[in-house]
Amino acid sequence: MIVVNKILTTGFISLIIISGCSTTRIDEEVSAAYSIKEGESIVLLSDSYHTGNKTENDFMDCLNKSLLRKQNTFNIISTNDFQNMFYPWFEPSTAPQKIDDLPKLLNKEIIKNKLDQLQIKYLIKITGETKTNASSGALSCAAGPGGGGCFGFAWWDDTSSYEASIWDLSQEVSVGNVSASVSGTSVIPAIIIPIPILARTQSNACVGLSEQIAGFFSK
Amino acid sequence: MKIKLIFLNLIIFVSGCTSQSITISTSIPPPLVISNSDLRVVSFFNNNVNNYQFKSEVLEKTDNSWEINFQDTQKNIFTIILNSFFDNNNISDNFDNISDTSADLIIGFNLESFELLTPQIASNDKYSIWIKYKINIYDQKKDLIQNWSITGYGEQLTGAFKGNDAILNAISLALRDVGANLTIKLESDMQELLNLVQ
Repeated sequence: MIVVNKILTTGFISLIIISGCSTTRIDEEVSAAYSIKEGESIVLLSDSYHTGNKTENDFMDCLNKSLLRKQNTFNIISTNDFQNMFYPWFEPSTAPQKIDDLPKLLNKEIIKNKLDQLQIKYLIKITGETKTNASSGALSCAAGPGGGGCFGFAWWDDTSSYEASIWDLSQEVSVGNVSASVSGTSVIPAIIIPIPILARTQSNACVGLSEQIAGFFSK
Repeated sequence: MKIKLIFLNLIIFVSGCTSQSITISTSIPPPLVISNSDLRVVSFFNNNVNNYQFKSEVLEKTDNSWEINFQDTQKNIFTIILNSFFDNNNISDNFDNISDTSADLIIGFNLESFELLTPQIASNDKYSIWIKYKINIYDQKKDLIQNWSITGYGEQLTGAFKGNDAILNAISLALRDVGANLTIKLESDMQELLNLVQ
């Protein structure tokens, strides 16, 4: 009995170690001078799925909310509100994909005036996604008149890798890039009851990237 | 994500082939464009724009069949766009009811194709929608002066969505994309249209 308990305890501790084994990599690059004043605004916009980008909607929601909590110097106009106010100029198929596309759009007086009116100084383009790199193991569940249960062990590796490119709308230049990449392993051991131990790579990447963006503007 | 996929597969396996019925009632914001108050515009919509109902064929054993009722969503979206461009935009029941010289520009909308790809058919984790419209533009003598093809594409990962929300969102994105493409076409060709009707 003691031996069984020891094996279970060892297994449990090693599982916690495996699930806690996530790595975070953060990068920052500054390419031009920048500053933001109180009252000015920024907008986060994901790259288009038309170009194959797969940034998740829930990641964009998380980033908007997290950035709002992390600073109170500038305003953040939510992605949905911005796209509705400027419809159809920042839709997935029409938004500028590269910094070179900006002048053509900003030459339209109606757009430029609205950006000025709302004091939107920076547009932050987000790319990236969460991917499962590898998975293994087996988990089977069965149920009968006397009850049911699951047995087995499954695991998978996720990588959440996102990059933010910061565009100055008044100077029409890219002022810098920040990125966050988080890798982690999730496991589900099951002895009657499955216990998912998840590496929250996407939410960690969201927190990491929002800290990077807030830090970028606080310098 | 992985857990959701396991449960999704389980649900598909348990539920097998079913029929899903959804109703579309999405809209778009008024486009940010400069309006024209000089032109008198009359628009008309074919039946497949006024009240379109899509019914999919079942291609896979595990696939659902889909019945999608668009109600007057498409008509409303096109009307929002035209009202933003033209202060004087009226709707007619059909082309024949429009009297000569009652409009400077007559715009007719016809749905040419609607295509739906489900995760089961495409073996991926997203819904994809593609829509194509034929838009005919006539002058005040009811002569055809322009013929446009306007398309829209929307896709939505099933990931974080419950029930039919993923397919509903994919359709909303596709209709919104149609609106965006029509707005950009109208904006870029406006001067040419003005030259043609004057």
